[in-house]
Amino acid sequence: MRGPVVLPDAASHSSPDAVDQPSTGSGGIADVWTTWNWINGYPSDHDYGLIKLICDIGYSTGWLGWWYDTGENLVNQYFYVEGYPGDKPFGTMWWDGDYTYSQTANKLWYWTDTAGGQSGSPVYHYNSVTPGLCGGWCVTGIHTNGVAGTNPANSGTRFRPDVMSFINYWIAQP
Amino acid sequence: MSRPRSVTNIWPGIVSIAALAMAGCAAGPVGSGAAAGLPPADPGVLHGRTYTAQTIIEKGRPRAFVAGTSIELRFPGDGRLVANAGCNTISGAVATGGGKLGLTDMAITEMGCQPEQHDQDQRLSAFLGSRPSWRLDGETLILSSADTTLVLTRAKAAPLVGTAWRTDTLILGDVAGATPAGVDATLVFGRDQVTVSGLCNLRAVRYRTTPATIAFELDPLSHNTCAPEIMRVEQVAVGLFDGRADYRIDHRTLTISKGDKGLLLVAQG
Repeated sequence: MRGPVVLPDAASHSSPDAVDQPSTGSGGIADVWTTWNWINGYPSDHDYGLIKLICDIGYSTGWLGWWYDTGENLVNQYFYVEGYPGDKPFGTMWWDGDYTYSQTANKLWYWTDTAGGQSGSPVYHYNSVTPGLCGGWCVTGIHTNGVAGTNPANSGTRFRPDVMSFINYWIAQP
Repeated sequence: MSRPRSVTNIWPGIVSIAALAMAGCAAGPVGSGAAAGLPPADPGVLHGRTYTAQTIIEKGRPRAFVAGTSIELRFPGDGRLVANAGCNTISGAVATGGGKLGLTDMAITEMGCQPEQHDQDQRLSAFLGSRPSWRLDGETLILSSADTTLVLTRAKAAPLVGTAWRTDTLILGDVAGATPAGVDATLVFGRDQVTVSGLCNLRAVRYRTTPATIAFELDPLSHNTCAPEIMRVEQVAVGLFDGRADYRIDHRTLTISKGDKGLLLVAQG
């Protein structure tokens, strides 16, 4: 990956027809990391990565909370996915909410609509499903996959100990 | 592919996380499929191989690939198939018995790309999910469904010697990261010496190979200081090039590793 720039709130940068929002700037990339498991064969359970920016853009844009509970049941909960779907006007951010369909220890499947371009989008919920772990808008997964074959639902990688260790480790690096 | 969007709302704002492919079946005309011949003698023969598509025929007519793209099917040997048509990655558990290629637990990533690439992704996903028949004709793999035939050729591994290998990924234990922006380091293996470009002090290293390892002989290096991102890659490279390291070539990718550190390099040209 060479030379990309992260552009938050892309609608305000690239689409004159989008809702007028002040620019929140853009961020150069300091590091791009994923797991060796993913590089070595693309298993869906290990589809996650991290882009570390060279600036603290969250102070301008805000951020979402997060939680995980390996023992919780996330099925039939109302979840949202938000990102930049490729079937919508370029650079416009959209969300959809719907119920979850099934889960494993590593993945979550949901009826929430998504489209190509939304890989990496947060899978979030209002308050943690397990009470008390996170308040407000909270993320517990990363959208990764659309519908394929006999699999009827979209899906994402669940936050879990190895995922959060990975994320927190790289956050802590200078 | 996602369900048709029914209720979607625009919400301009920021989301702050970016955390973001038997031997000896009789050769037949393209499109005859396995049904026209015997099922493959050894369904496991595909494992460990990579194939790239040359031709796709839909309803009897060749269909052009999207410009600048190709279709690749990898059978990593762990019972899965990983396919890519130039944008998104399709994967799933693969069964090849009875002359059919059956995929279960299919998944397709949802990266953004041009509409014609998305269309090509979806066509490939639907085709692979249709349980096509398969057969081998020498180095040619032929997949066929009712109205589509995909003709692929076994991909040859790039040679270690003479190929310009560009650093792409740093491997540090269980994690892997892109070579930092601003680093454009390349290795070229000669007869007995690797020529290194784009790093700081590491310019050349002697080597000998065995089938799975490379024994490097590294002479003392100068102590120049370069940009931190270059030094970071050089530090990993020097660690690998001091003694014996494991190596593996998978199509156009070279992985050199020692212990929990490694470099993944991609063949140029």
